[in-house]
Amino acid sequence: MGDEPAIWTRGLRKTYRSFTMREVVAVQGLDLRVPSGGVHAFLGPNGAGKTTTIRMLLGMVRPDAGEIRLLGHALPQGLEPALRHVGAVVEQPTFYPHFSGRENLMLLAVAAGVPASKVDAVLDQVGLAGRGRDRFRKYSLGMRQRLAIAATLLRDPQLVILDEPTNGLDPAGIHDVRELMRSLADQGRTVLVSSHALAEVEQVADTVSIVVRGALVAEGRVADLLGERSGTTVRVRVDETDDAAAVLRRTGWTVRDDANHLVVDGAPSAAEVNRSLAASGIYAHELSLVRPDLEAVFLDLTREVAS
Amino acid sequence: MRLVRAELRRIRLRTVSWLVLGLLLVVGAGFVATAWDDARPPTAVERAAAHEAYESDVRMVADMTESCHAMLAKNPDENLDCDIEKPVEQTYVDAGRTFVQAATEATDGLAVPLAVAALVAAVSLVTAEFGARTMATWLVVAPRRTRVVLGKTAAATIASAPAAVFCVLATILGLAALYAGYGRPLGAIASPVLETLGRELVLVVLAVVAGTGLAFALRHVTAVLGVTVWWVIAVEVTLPIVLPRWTPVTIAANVRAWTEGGATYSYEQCAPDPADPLVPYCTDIERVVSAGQGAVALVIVALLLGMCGLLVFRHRDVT
Repeated sequence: MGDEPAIWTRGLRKTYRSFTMREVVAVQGLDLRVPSGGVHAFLGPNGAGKTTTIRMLLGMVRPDAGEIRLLGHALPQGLEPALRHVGAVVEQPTFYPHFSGRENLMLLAVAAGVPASKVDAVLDQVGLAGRGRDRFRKYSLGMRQRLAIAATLLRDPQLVILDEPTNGLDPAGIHDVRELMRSLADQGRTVLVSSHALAEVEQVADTVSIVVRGALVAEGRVADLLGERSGTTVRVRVDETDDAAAVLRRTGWTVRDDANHLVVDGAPSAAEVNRSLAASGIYAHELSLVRPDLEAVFLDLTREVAS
Repeated sequence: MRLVRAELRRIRLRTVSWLVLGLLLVVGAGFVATAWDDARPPTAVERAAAHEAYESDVRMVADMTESCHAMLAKNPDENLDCDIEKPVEQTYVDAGRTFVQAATEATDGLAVPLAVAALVAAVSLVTAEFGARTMATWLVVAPRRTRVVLGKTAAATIASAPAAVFCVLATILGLAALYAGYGRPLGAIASPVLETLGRELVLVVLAVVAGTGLAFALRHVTAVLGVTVWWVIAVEVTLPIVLPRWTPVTIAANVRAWTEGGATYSYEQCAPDPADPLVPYCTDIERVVSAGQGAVALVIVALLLGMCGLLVFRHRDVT
């Protein structure tokens, strides 16, 4: 990964005014750093300001305040040279409904100065080669997503921005998109993916930024973020649940029943739990460290901010 | 240039483009249809009726001449001119307009339809993009908004101008075929038609600039339609009736002035009668909007709308 981040923002702010002139803050002082290379997940609940941020990165929405650097170019002055190396899908894939998928890509290719052969290549890459001549309006949501991803690949981008790319895709499609993101990252490109499919993102993302109410609440490597919150919860299966719970509570840990298991919070390690039980003559059938997944981290963080 | 090529490709693919061209050809065909009676030679029944009318007039003239001479014989001092003009049979058969007249009138008549078609096509080209929300997709490829506006305007102009020439030529060829089919003489029309066509092409370009400007400023076809209807009712129709002195402000007057080489309008000017100050003395004043004035006014309107669209598009968020 290079030193210069692919995306860097500082103090990014955007407010909208409603019809009643009420001010709605979409993004407030966002400091975002997306390293070059790899897949970066951009997560946040609905209305967190993810799409507004992406629009600001692409020059479609003007920030009220803050700085943006995209692939080393300061915006808005460097928007055009920066976007030459960016492929992006923002929210719903939008194309001309009465034209075929191939024609839609051809228009973009002509505008971008990309040869026609590239259109067929990217259609093939996203699995739409056989449906390229169908009208866009007849495409399913999944096919629309695929076409949008194909559009992002037309210009051999250094940075690919995908906003909810797995919306409407079937499991096979989701798998394909995940593979595609991974392969793009393996080629040295940067992929910024905004998604609600946290399990999917966790499998493919190297780094993550979590935004809530327009502000950054966590960022870093996915493994680090999960690691920070792991190691404190242990799941145990024993025959003598009441006795075991009493023993563990005496050590000062929190214990709760979960089906046929006990869930222990606050223990330094699984080995310490095992040692305490064994010292009291209780032997575990099953003992496992509960690792929080990205979803759990995300929910914890968003709840913390909400409260 | 790449943007213009892409837009031209898009225009070629749009159903609306071909629909507008088709409607223009229908209007042209309307001009050919209305020339049908002019081109057609009179039927035997019409000839017989014309001959009958002619003979009746010949008899009437002979009777009048005879009466005149009889009166002159009775009163030689009477100052009577009995040399009554004799009817000419050819004038009794309605020859209709010549090909040159019909072609010139059709070319003149196509000016407003061509301008309206260019305006509609330009508005539709831009508003369809906002309607389908494809502008965001487009701006990732072409982020410079001024270039986007100029590209669309240029493409719409490049597409509209040949379409306008094609419609005028198709109409004239239709008329020529009609007249030739009936064995009527044609005639040289190049000079007047080319001059009118030149003026119409200028009008088409201005309509495209105005249309794209309106569309970029308002974004929705319904908004453009609303503003246009308001303008037509409030200014084009009402103003010349309520304040006829302000007629040169209307686009219709300036279009007429530009395409027809000048347009007249009149208003009533009243002042107290010097003989009776309590009674107003009114006179009709006739004024002319020259072709030059019309051109300047149309260019100003088109540029204002174009600039307005450009500024709004450059500064508003695209979502």
